[in-house]
Amino acid sequence: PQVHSLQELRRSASLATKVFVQRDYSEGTTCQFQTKFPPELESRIERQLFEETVKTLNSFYAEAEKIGGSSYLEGCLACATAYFIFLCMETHYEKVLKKISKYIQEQNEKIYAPRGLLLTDPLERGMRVIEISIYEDRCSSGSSSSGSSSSSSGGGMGG
Amino acid sequence: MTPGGGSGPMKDCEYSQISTHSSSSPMESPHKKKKSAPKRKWEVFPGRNKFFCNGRIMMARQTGVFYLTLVLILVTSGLFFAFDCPYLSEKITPAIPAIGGILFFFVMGTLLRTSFSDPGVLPRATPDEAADLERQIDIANGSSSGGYRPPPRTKEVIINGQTVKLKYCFTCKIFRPPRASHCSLCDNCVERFDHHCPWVGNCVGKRNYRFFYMFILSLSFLTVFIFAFVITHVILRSQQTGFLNALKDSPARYPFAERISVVCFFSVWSIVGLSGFHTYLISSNQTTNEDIKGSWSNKRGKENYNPYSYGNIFTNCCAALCGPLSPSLIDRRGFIQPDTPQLAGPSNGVTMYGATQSQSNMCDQDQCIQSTKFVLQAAATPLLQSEPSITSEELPLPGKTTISGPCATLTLGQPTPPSSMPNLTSDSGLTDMIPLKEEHEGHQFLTPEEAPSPPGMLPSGSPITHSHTMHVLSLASQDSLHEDSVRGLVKLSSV
Repeated sequence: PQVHSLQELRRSASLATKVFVQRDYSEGTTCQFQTKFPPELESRIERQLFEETVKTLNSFYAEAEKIGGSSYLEGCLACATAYFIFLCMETHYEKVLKKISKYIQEQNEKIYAPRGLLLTDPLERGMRVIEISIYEDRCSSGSSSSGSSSSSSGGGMGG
Repeated sequence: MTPGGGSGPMKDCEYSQISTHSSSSPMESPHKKKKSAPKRKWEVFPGRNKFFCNGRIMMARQTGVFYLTLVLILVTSGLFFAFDCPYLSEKITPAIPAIGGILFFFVMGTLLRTSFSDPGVLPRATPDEAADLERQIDIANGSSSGGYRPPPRTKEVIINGQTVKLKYCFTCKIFRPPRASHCSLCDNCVERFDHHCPWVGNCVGKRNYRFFYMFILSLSFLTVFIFAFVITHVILRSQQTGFLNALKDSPARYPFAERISVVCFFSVWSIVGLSGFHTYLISSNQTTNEDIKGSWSNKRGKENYNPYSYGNIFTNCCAALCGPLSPSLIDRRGFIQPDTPQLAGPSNGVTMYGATQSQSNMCDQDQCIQSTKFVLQAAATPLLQSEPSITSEELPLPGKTTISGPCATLTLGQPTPPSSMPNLTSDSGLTDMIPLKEEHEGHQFLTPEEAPSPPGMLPSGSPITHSHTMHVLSLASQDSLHEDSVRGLVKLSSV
């Protein structure tokens, strides 16, 4: 396995395929992602690291959506000002989202990019999926492009 | 220039290739490179929404009724402040105009918030996501031989012990999260979809439900307030001159008192009723949609309960009104990244399927007026919400009375219990399913797309759109290929 930095990844590697980690609705409409390990990542990253990432993300989202004292306070204050306060104040949720995006970037730099993977912030995908892009190194030999797109092309290409 | 939505679904035949960034950008980038300024995302938004202030404000297409709401509130309040307040503040207390002013400010603030904000629109799937889902569906259904595309899966999820079906949205190419629904008027999937409110000119969903509720609540208080004090004004004056004389002299002495009273009288009952209904919904943590369909009603079965409810009224209320406010997922004002593949949606975001830009502009005014007329006509009748998820009981069969066209819930509806609501269906569900037929047959099936959802056609049982539905169904039955699709539709509905 070759080691890349995040910038190198974009330049020298070509996108092979994308894996989507879906939402886990078993606890309702709160934002949680499935911790099931996608088979395509089997050879790319250790299961434990991946699960760790997803679990941390889940805990961030739970924190953002937590209904408790501080969120009630924010809600009541906003209501009292006819919600004009949202024009100048950042909500608790938005603050947590910023934390999440920093965390994802950090994970990408430290763990995923060196393995030729890239996490996309779920916010950019409508909070539906965690998109993991799998890159193949362009300069590596023939095995790269063929293997990864095989599973997708079979069903889809017919059109 | 990519043509409007009419050819969009046809292009979808090819979309199931996994599009890497290189494959889809040749379509979009030459188009974009011609423009000197980078485009913002709202300009290519695929839903049927209008944007103002460079993407800061987002509303539905039909805004005529919203302006009516504004006018009614502004004029009534204005007349009250101008003609009744001076007398009342002298005679009784200056707190009256002060409180009235605060209420008015609150009403306007919440109304604008409700109308202008993103109700919780779910962005459509990126081509990669859509292809991935397609693949999973194909794998699940096994290989299909020619003919029709097999009906998509509905995913079943168990939420707090209750089985909930997640349906696949053909327009947005996603499995809808629980409680989300596709609004046919705005052509978007909206999270925690409550209803589409023409009075507010927007959908009511997760992100603006609390604003909507505060709006109708404060409006109730305002109308009751104005009504009470206008009456007080007349009574006080009449004590000086005699009641009958007071009424006779009314136009001259207390200008507009009668008119204000009339407006307020009707508003009071409808708005207060609506507030009561929504208070009930909030305390049981249901959406209008779910209540109307009786999703969690005991009548469906003893085991049926609402899995989203927190168990007690207080928590439900707090969660709905004071819970965290989730951010907008559609990022209206963001710039389009040159290397991200964009969806094959209409290139100018506000065009609707099959209609040209000029047509839609011309139709707009007509339909604004029409929609207002319909609304006023239908004011007494509670109308039901459009919900394209069709269960087996709700499939629009010929001969069954249906209300076709996009059903917009009028917020003047009386809060009747779900059981007394007629089993109305909306063929906006067909709108979702018809692209299914289009995609694999390659027919330019514009009629069914336009007929069920001509913009602004609020349903007062409009027979024209009804007949279009029948027309669609009969057309479908003529062709054998179409028969397959219809069978597919029937299977889909029975899942």
